Amino acid sequence: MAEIRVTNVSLEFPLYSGGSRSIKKVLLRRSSGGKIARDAADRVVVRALDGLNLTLRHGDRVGLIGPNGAGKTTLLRLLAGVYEPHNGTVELDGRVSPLFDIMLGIDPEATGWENIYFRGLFLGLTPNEIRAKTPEIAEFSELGDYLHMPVRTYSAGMMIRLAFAASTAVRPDILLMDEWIGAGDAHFLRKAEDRLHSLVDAASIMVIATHAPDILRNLCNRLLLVDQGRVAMEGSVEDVLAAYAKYA
Amino acid sequence: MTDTSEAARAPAARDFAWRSWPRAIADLKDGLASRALWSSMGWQDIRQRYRRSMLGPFWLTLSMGLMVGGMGVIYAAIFNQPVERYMPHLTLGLLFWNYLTSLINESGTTFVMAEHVIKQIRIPYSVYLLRTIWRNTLILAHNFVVFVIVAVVFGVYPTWATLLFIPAFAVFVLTSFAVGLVFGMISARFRDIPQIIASLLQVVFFITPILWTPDTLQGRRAILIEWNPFWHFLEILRAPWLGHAPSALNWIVSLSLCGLSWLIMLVFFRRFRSRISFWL
Repeated sequence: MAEIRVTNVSLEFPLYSGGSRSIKKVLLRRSSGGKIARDAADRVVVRALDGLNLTLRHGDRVGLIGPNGAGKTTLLRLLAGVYEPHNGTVELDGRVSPLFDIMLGIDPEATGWENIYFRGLFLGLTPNEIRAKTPEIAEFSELGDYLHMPVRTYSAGMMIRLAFAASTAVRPDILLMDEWIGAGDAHFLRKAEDRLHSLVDAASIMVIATHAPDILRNLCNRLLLVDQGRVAMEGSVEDVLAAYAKYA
Repeated sequence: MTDTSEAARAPAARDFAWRSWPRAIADLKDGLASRALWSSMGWQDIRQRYRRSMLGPFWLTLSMGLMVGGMGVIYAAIFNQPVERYMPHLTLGLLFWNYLTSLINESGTTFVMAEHVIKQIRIPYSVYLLRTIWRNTLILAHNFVVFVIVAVVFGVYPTWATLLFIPAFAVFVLTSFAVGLVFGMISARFRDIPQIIASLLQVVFFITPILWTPDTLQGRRAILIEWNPFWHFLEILRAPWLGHAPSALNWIVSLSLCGLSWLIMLVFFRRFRSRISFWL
């Protein structure tokens, strides 16, 4: 029974790169869904999340939509523990696993086997746990003897198969995704879809940021419209999609 | 849209969890416990550099060997020193100096280079630094072959004092960890710092007894050595291999600096740990 409670969280990214004054002027023209503001020390900051509140419970399949720069990715990273809020609190019960970039940590010079091991370490597995999961990952990737070869020799499709198989080997309580992952040729695509769906089904809470309405309808039972670092609207998939269509 | 109202400027009610001691300590503990992760990251760094090359990391050993061989003969003549005494001194000096400088320089880029990973998944920050230390320790181990050869050629054999290298190395690595963590954080925030430090270290190389021996500096100038913290660390690492114990002063200075660096690191790390991902 995982649970997520985000209470009044604001995240500000200070802009340090020189000439902040003039940069501010450029950025002031509102070009995105984020907020440019000044903090207490009069620094220019991008307020990516602005007093955001959110409670997610077991069984929630949440989709995040919103304009570019609205804070969707920042919110996902907040939930993944990448950013710790200085204002507000985030309480998480359950094992979180972000599935943002399946190619993370793939070393082209290393063999398939080595990459499976390495990816497992990134997922927080111990070497023994990885060894236990390796046969299943290898089988799912259908790479056979290619696993002994450096990944650099793989075709793009093979590389994705390996990365996908390895990064979906762990079933987290809280699954976070930035865009749905499509992988490989038609045959593997179906297999990957099944595996990803079973991952979603097994998760207690799933949060995905995407603009694809089909995926939202297919996966989610709840939609959040994020804008300017806040939850602008919350509701059923169709309601929020309809509102967003007008909104944008 | 600008928000410059009073409310936006006023410091908000703060939750101090982000700068709590337990989180900072947990990061250090979990980092150390993730040995499989940082050791394979460190190995991977080296292998990426040398994959498909015939000698692999031993290219480093070879270039170190050539450098020591060439410099040893010439500088022994310049400084009027017997080669059999000068060569081991120079070899160890260069080995440990290289280790020290690459640890410091690479600590500065530890977090910046790992930006992609840091923004994707939560791993203890100390893991990235341990990876840097591990990588450089492996390189040191490869380079150490040069000293073994020099030692055999010039008849420098281990004595009981050589055992002192073990605590010396521990003190050195502990200090490097603390200094590296602080330096890594500062460098993530101020990107000019690594360049400044790198050029300062070049100067330090010449004022530290590496190419020359301490006894060549007589009288009041000897102060330049005693006040050089790098020398004390170098000496506790080097002396045991040359068959004599480092001086009490060497130990006192090294241990004090180790303790001091940990104090500073803990304060810094508690305060700025959670800022690192914002700075990248």
